[in-house]
Amino acid sequence: MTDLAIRTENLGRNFGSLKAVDSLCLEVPRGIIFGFLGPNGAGKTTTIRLLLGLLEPSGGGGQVAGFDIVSQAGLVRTSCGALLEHPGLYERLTAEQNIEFYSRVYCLKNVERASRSKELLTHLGLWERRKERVGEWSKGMKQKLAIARALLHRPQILFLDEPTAGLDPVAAAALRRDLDQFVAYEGVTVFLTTHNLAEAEKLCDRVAVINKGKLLAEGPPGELRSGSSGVKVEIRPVNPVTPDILKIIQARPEVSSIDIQDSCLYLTLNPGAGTAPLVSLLVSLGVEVEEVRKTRLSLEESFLKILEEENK
Amino acid sequence: MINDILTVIWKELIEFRRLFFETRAGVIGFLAQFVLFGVFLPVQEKEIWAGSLLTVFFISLLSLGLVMVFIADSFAGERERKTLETLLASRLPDRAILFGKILTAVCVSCGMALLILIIGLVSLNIAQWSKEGLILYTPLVFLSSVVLSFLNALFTSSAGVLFSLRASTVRQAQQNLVIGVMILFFIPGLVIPMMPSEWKKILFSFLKGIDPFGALFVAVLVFLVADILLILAAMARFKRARLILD
Repeated sequence: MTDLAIRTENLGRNFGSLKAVDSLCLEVPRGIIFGFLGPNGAGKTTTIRLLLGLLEPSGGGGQVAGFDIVSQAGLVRTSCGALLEHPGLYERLTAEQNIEFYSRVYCLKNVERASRSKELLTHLGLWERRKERVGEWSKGMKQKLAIARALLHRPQILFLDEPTAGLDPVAAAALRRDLDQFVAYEGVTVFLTTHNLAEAEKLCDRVAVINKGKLLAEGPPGELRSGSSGVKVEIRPVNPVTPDILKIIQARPEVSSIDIQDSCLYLTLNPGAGTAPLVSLLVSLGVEVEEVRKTRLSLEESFLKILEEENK
Repeated sequence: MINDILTVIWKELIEFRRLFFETRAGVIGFLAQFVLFGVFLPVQEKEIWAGSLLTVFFISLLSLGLVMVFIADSFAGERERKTLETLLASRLPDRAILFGKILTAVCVSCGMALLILIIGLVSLNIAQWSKEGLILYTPLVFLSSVVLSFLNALFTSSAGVLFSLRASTVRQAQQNLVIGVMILFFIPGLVIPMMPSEWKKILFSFLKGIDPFGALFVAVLVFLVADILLILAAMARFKRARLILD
């Protein structure tokens, strides 16, 4: 068995002249949470559809769980669970009936069906409400049930397409916690798309950034943060910084961008750049520095920077 | 494959029960059909009901509306209620989903036809008990009713698949399907008056000369051919990659 859960080679999908996914090369190791990030229309959902064998690629190919996504699409779907853009639950049916339907779909034996649904629903706090119709439930509960449904047949890989979208912060945090626990408990590989970069930062072992169908960056979130954008320096001066001084600082090769908020100077430095020479320069220019704070860019800031650089 | 089809039928039957038996309109609609075709007409027509081709006509068409409503809800409803993509992302083969849904409609329709035939027979015998002995359907009426109910349900549901997959909502699918069926039924009414009088004479003399058994045989044959063509068209249309792009 290969160590990769997902592997694509120049995977592409065109819709007319639009390249929704453009020569995507991706390797996702087993047993991790892999974040797939990108703005709306970047090609995230199309990638999931291609990986699940729901769409045929226009070019390239790939393997999911060791199966070819074109010629063995049925086996790919048998090995994977999915929570797509919508929970996909039958709202006229009860939670128990929804789970039973999908356990029949995945050919679970009667005994396993009962024990597995009890295990999942109990873990997610839904067991007591299993006889209720799903249509009467809140969105957060539906998402939890959809996760239970996706995990029912013990898939090797779980595809989650923006699982916390539309949830209030409390429900989203609860779902994230459940998801994190479940992934650790089940040992499943998760392919997660999200707009919520704080969520990706908390959950994901590796992330990839995609825009206009192209893969822009890939790696652990920490590496992506430092690799793409270096560090951010917050400098609090005692006296105001004049526009002339700002121009001098901006012209320095190690400075990527500069911003002033509430008389505080925020510098984004290029990778490998030091802080000390800039502070010395400011002092020599007559700026009285009260405080210097060096922070790493958040994943969100790195993500925006990667997109910005791509659009240049 | 058989297990997969049965799984889909299991789910569809629950949805069917919720759709028709848990709403007042659904229950009233069912009761009205049972009272009209299971009690009123058999009692009114007396022993003629057991041997008339009119019985075959009524029984084979009575579940038409039910099949149209159900099949539109089953196919267009999956899209409208956003459950289709998740279903397609499962391991179920395309054909298991398609045939599971169609067979549910056909089973329900045939079951209803059989039930109404039985209730009609009971009503008829109760109403005629003192005058005659036990009245039974003639084998031709009984068999034709069951076979034509089956073929008609298959025809309506396969056509319903094609209409529903083109519609974005259940309501739109139901409207399109009703219009389609109405056009089909009105075609003879529109075409015959426009035919030259010579053609009309030939047609009417042919219809007069045809024996009931022959007419039923032709009807079965026409339905059979139409059913096969429609099922093939539905199989060609119901493909994952195409449904996702829709």
